[in-house]
Amino acid sequence: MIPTEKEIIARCQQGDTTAFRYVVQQYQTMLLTLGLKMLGDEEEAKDVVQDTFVKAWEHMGRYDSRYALSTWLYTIASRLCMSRMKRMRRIAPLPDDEQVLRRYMNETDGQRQLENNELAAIVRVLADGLGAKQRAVFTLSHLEGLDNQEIEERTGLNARQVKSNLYVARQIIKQRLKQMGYE
Amino acid sequence: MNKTDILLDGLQHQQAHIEDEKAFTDMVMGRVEGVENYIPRHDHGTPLKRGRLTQQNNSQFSILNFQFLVRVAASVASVLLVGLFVALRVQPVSSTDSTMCSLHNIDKYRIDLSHISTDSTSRDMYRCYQEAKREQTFYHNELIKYSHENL
Repeated sequence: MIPTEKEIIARCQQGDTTAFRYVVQQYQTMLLTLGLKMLGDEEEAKDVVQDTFVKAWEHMGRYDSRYALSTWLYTIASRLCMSRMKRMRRIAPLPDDEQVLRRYMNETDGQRQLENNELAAIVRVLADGLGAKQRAVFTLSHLEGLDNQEIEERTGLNARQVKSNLYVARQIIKQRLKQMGYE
Repeated sequence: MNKTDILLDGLQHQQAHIEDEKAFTDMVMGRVEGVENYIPRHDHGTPLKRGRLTQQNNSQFSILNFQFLVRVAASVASVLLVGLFVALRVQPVSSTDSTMCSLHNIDKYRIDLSHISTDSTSRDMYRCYQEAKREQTFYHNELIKYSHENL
């Protein structure tokens, strides 16, 4: 019988690493996707995934069961990404990154599953010139589909910060895509 | 839907791939359990134990602190340098200007002597009168000299 999330969490809180392994297997792809979209670098994203699980394991006792485990992990990862972004200062696109974006945009459906390096390349082009907060709110809003309330909870930013950073990020990205010939 | 919307919508549905999920899980669990098989990316392949990982974090913290202090010191130094620069930019007063300045201030030194009589019984009062008169004469002479030379 498959244990419920509550049972798994309870076992993790008692120090059961087997239960925690199950948590890692369950959420590692979700967190890597988030890291990749926020940081535009696969290795950095993998580091964040590891750091997230280590932090979660260390603070398992503080986990509030009113929230879904995925939300809690997602929040930890978002904040780790933000602090890493501040340290990275800027995502610089590589010479071929724009070509990757053009190729992807020229595909009629735009639904092709991208490789990690392609996704990272597109993120680098889009995020070029954005500040850490702008990048974070833009990613969570447009690339992850979160609403403003959820972004506030995940990032710790207030409503005004979310709104203004999102507005600026949208304008910059819109302008960049326009320069590339896309409306 | 324009092209930008299609792009963003498409990206929203993208998911990262983990080539070898089991190996990745093992790596994460390695860190969680503090097993030596974790190789942090920034450590150039040196396996770390959990204890050393903490040390690494601490050293990163001290480096960050140090960087912060260096930045603060640099800011203070630049402010001081700007202050020094501004101070040096103030031109020293030339001797002529200085004389002019003194002449302009001559009123400051002019003392109303009408109420002091030479037969004052007070020696101090008399000395004061003499000094004031000398000073007034000096500035008077300076004024005449300046006028002759420059006007």
